[in-house]
Amino acid sequence: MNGKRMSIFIAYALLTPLLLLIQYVYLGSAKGLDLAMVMACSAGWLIPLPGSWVTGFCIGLIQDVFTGRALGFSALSLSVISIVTSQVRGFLNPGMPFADNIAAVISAGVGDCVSYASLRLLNMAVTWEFFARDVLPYSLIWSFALIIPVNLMVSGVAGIIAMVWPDKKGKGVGIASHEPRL
Amino acid sequence: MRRLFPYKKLIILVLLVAASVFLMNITGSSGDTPSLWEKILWKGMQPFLDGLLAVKDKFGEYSALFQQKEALLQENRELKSRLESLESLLTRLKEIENENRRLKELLGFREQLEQEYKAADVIGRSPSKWFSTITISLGSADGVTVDAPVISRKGLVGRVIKVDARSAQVLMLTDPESGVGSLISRSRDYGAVVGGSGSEALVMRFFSRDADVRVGDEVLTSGVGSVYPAGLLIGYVTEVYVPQPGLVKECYVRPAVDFAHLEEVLVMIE
Repeated sequence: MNGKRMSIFIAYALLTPLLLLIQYVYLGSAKGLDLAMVMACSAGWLIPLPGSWVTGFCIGLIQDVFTGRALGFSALSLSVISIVTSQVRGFLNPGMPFADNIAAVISAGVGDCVSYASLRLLNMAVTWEFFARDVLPYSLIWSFALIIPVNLMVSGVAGIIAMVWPDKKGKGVGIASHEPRL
Repeated sequence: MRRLFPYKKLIILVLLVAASVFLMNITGSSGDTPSLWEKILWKGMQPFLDGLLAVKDKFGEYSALFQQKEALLQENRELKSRLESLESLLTRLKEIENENRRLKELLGFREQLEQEYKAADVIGRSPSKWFSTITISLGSADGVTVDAPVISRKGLVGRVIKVDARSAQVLMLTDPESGVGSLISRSRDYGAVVGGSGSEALVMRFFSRDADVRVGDEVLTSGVGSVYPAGLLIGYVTEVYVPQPGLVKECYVRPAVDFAHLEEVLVMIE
C-alpha cells in the first residue's frame, strides 16, 4: 500500500473519533445529525472498493463503541453506505456539480433503510412514523449539506499526512472528489 | 516742459514723501483708540489671520498627536483587552445565573421527594440517531447503581444502564429498548410505555381492551416491577387509537420532559 492511500486511511482513523467526540459533547441536541454516516459517505466517494467498504465498516464499529449498544449495528449500515456511494460514483460524472452530494443522499437513504430493517429484525420498538418523519429526512439533509466540507477536511488531513509519508514516486497528493481516485 | 524733466526725480521724491506723511497723519492712532484706517485694515486682514491661526493650530494638534501616538495606541489596546474580558465575564455571569435558577428549582423539587436523589449534569449524548442515551456526571463512587431511576423536575427521564466510577449512561424513555410500567392517573388503567417513536412521542400499550383513556390524561409510573417507584410523571396522552381491529388500545404520550434540552437530572441513590 503506498503512502497516498495509507494517508487517507489514517485521516479517517484520526477524524472519526474526533468528530464523534465533538458530536457527543457539543452537538447532541442537533436533530438527526449523524457525522459517522457522513464520514462513511465520504469514504465511499474518496476510496474505491473494497477499501471504502472496509473503511465504512471500521467507522461504524467506532460508532458502535461510542454508543455502547448492539456492536455491529452501525458497522453494517455504514459499510452499506460506503459501498453504495462507491457504486453511485461509478455511474455519475465525478466532475459534475453536486455529484458527491447526490451520491451522499442516495447512500444515506439506503443506509437508513438498512438500519431500520435491522432494528425491526432485532425486535426493537421503532415505529415507521419515527423513521419516516424524524430520521430519514434529516439524514438526507445532513448528508447533502456536509459531504463536501467533510471531503475537504479528510483531503486536507490526508494531504498533510502524505507530506510526512510521501508516495514512492514522489508525486503530489491531490485527493479531491473530481480528481483521479487513489 | 523740458525744464521740468531735469527735476522729474526730485518731484517724484517729494510727492512720495508727502504721500507718506499724509498717510501717516490720517492713519495714525491716538493713544488707546484705533483710527478708522486701522480698523478698516484689521477687518480686512482678519479672515487671513484667522485662516493662518487655524492652520497653525491644526498643525500643532497633529504634531502633538504624532508625538503621543504610541501612548494612545497602548491605551487603546489596554482598553480593548479590558472590554473583552468584561464582556466574557458578563456572559459567564449570565450563564451562572441561569444555572443557579435551574438548580434552585431542582433542589426545591428534590426536597419534595421521599427517596434520596443526587443532582447530576448531562455531559454527553449518544451520537446515534436511533438510540437515546445520555451520560451523566455521577458514577459508582457517588452511589449510583445500575437500574437507578433518573428524573428531572418535570418528570421521568429513564434509568441507568451502565456505571463507571465517575459517570453513568442513562437509557432515556424515548429509546427503542425502553419500557416503563405505567397507569392513567384518572382511571387507574394499567399499561406499558415504550419508546422508539422519537423524542416527542411515546407509545402506551394498555393491558385491558376496555381501558378508559382520553386525550389530556396524565400518565404516571405504576410501580409495577422493581425499577421505577410509583407516581412519577411520564407525560400526557395526545392521541388514542386501536392499531388493528381486535387488539387493545394504544395511545401516544407527549413526554413531560424535554429530552432534547436536558442539562441537569436527579439520580436515585440507594
